[in-house]
Formats: sequence, C-alpha cells, structure tokens
Amino acid sequence: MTKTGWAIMIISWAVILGAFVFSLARTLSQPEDDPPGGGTDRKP
Amino acid sequence: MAKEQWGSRLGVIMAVAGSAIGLGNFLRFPGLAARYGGAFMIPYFTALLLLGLPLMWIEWTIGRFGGGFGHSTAPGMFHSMWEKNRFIKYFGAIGILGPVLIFIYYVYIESWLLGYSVFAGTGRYAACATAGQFKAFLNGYRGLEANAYFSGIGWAYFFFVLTFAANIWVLFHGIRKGIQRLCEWAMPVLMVMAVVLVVRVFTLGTPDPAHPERNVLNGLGMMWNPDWAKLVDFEAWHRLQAHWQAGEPAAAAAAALRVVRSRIWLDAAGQVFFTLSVGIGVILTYASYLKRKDDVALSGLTAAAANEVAEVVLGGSIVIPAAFVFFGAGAVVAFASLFDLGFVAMPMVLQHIAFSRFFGVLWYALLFIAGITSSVSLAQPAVAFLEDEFDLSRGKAVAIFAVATFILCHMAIFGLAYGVVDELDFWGGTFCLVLFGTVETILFGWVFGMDRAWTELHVGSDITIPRIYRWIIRYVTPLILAVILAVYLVQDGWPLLWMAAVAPRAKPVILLTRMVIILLLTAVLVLVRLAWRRRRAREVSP
Repeated sequence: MTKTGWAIMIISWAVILGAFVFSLARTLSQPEDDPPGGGTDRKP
Repeated sequence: MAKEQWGSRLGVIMAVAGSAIGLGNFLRFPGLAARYGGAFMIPYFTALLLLGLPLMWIEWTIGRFGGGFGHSTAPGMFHSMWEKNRFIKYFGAIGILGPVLIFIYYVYIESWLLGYSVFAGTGRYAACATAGQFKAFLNGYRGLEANAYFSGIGWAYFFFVLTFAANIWVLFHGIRKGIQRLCEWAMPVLMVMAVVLVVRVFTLGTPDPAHPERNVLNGLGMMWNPDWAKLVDFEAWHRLQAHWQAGEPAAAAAAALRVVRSRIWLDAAGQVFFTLSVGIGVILTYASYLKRKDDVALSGLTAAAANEVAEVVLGGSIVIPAAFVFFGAGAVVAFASLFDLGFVAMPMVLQHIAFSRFFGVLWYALLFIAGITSSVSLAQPAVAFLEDEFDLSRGKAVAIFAVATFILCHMAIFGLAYGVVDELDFWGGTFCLVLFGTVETILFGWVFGMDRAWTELHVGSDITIPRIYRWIIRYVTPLILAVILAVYLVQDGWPLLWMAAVAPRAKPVILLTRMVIILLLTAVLVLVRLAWRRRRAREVSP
C-alpha cells in the first residue's frame, strides 16, 4: 500500500470512528427520564 | 388504539442502524471501493455530508413530526406537513410501495444466506474448488440449472419459507418486543462477528510463497491507493489549459465539463443513499414512535455513524483483502458483482483457511443478521399503515402483509432467471427511493419552510447542527437528488423501460412484473383514499 493509500485509510477510519464514538458517548450520557415513544402527545 | 413505543433511546438507534446495515455494507461498498481505489472516498465523504446526513435528519424529523399526529407512514406525514394540498398524501404512497417491492426480493436473497450458513457448517459446498464450480453451486441452489449439486429449487424454497417465517415472527411481536429486541442483540453480535472476521483476514499473512506480493497490505491497497485518473480526466484538464491560454473560451468550457469524471461521483452518491436506508420510508416510520421532545439530531448522527463503521471500517476490511491474498488483483476485479463477491469469492477464500467451516458459518450468519434487521424494517411501513389508518390490530395487519407478500415473493423466486429481481430492484430499490427522497426533501425545505423545519429538527436536540446545513438541506441536497434521478432515468431507466437488455423469452415475464407493480401502486393509492374517507367520516360523526 502506498503512503497516500495509508493516509486516506487512516483519515477515513479516524473520521468515522471518531464520529461514532462521539455520538454514542453523547447519546449514552443523556439522562433517559422516561422511555421514548408514544408519538400522540400532539393534537391533530 | 394505543400507539406502540420504543423501549429506550438506544433501542431506536439500533433499530435504525439495523435497517441501514445490510448486504451493501459488506458486499457492495467493497466492490465499488476496489473498482475506484482510495479516490472513491473523496466523492463518498462529500455525498455523506451533502446527501446522507441531511436526508437522515430530514427523515427523523418528518417521522417524529408525523407521529405527533398519529401517523406512522408517509401519506399521513406528508399530509400533516402540507395540509392545504389534497394530493401530497398520494405521493406518500411511494413510501409504502417502495419498501414492499424491495421486501419481495430481499427476503429471498436473505434466505440464501441462511442456506449458505447451513451449507458452510455441514460442508455441503466443500467439493467446490473453482469459481466455475461455486457459480454452478449457486445456480443449482437457486434452481437456475439442475446439476451435480442440486436437482431443483427445493432447498432454496425451504430456506425461503424459514426466513420469511422468521421475519413475520419478529413483526408479529411488534416494535418493542419484536424489532427492538431483535436489533438490540443483533447489532452488537453483528459487530463482534465482523471484528472476528477482520482479525482473521488481517492475520492471513502471505499464504502463497510463490506470490509474496499477495498480502493483506496490498489487498487493502487495492481499496485505498488512489488512482486520481478515475476522479479527474487529466487529458481534459490539459486541453482546458491549452484552450484557455489560446483565448478560446467556448472550447475551454467544453473541456471543463469533462474534467471531473461523473461516474465515480454518481456511484458514491448512490452508495451513500442506499447504505443509509434513506428514501425508503423506513426511518419515517421508526421515528414516528418517538415523542415530540425526543432528540432526533444526535440519534440520526449516531445511527449514520454506526452504519459507516460497519461499512467503511469493517465491511471494507473483509472480502477484498481476503480475495486478493488468495487470488490476486485480477480475480478481485473479476468478482466485481455483489453476488460473485458474497457467494463465489468468499467461500473460495474460506476453503483455503483453517477452521473454514467455522468462519464460513460466521460470514453467512453475519450477512443473514444484517439482512433480517433490514428486511423487518422494510415490512414495517406497510404494517404500520394498516394499523394506523384502518385501526387493525398488530396481528391482523401482520397477517394481511404476510399473505400478500408471501404470494408476491414467488415472483422473485421463480422469475429470477427472467430478470424479475433486477426489475423489482430498479423500481423499488432505485427509482422509488430517489423519487421519494427528492419529494420529501423539497417538502421539508421548501413547503414546510426552512425556518420551521430547522426549529422542528432542533426540538429536544442534544446537539446543534451547523447552520450551513440550512443551506445544504434547502439547495444542495435536492439538487444532487434531482441530478441522480435524471441520470438514473436516462442511463438505466430508459433502456430498462424499453427492455433493451431483456431476452425475448423473458419479455412477457417482465411485462407481467410491471403490471403487478402498477396493480400494487393502484392498490396502495386506493387504500390511501379509503383511509382518508374513514378519517373524514370519523371527524364528522365522532
């Protein structure tokens, strides 16, 4: 694999894994007072 | 009737990720990446940022908004967004028909994976050694030819019935006890299985001493080494410079149009679009079971990121490097199609490694899990439509869906040799998706209004989306979708419409398939009309 190939692979993986870890950590850190769902709390 | 609910926030995200992570992550993406090399990632990430993420957020937001009005499917949601328009609900019918058309053939392909995972464990294809033999095995299994491996379609039909029943069983148990429970164990298991396979591939070394260049690093190089000529036409670039310096603006403009190669950009946009399960109507339905104050911005981002991990990091590290190590670059290019990579190249690879049966089961079980979490999501919009708009119980709605689709699946099973699956894939898996995505994006950014849409997107949000996305959602995303739709119609749709590549003996079957698709569309439109009549009658006499 060429150096440019390595660079593209590492950057791609870092961006994707970074976005996944960041978003999952933020999601898990949010308090979940009551389960989501229901969807009917607004009048038609 | 009380609307169903998700059990937890992570459950919703896993369900959406489960819907998005499918065969495309492990087979289609590696095939495209190997064709274009590392240069592919530039249009891929561009499409992800300008098309994939905006559509994710649009669908999560429309879904939660429509759910607030008691709708779980596109007709009701579109009507809620544009109440003054009497016809917009009929456009929403695409969000029910499209997933049904995909479900009809997807479940059949999914059943091959179940069958192959059993065959891998029992060593049924152990006698195959060459690509020709594996292709014959696959054709025999699907009933396309009677050969030494299979005398008929019996096994394929048996595994189809099992797979179909498993889908219906999950659907019957509903959102929380069926789909969420499946995805909550399936997604972590799928990720672990994929990691085990990646580790095995990365430790393959150089199995053939006669070909020291066939190693994992060079296999990864096939996917990641950039060939800029596939992205840019350098000859056109030099012509552009020459014409410009010669003071010929018209000729320079003509050359400029050819500088960027359009095919790689379209393939990347198509891959991002299909891999995220946007434009189908599934995310709308899943998000409709959220409450008004539930976050959609961060949840959409998390589901998209999980899909990308499965696709780029894991999916890209299994089949191409493994096939390269054993058979070299020429063979990898020859196995470019999705079915060849999954059912010919990969079992050939697995035959060459220790514990081949174990890894064979792991590979096909991984694909089967990826498949079933996607197929149940494809069924949910139609089931939810029957539940919501006709007040049917979950059991009745699932039973009606099961009977109808079981009959329709036979088109894919027995029409495979005539190109019925390709036909269904074009209309359900390409045309409906892009058209639906275009309609919902225009509806969101232009009809609903960008100010209102932006506020709705951020209700209960745990992150703030960069403001540049206001502009992207309003202008860039619909423009890209319109271009994709136009190109697909001209390049693929027009020849397909006139059956240019269809053998004369297959033409009556393809025409029959089209008649069935038109009948199904008519049926969904009639059901939408009936549902609104019922709704009006209820409003008049409560």
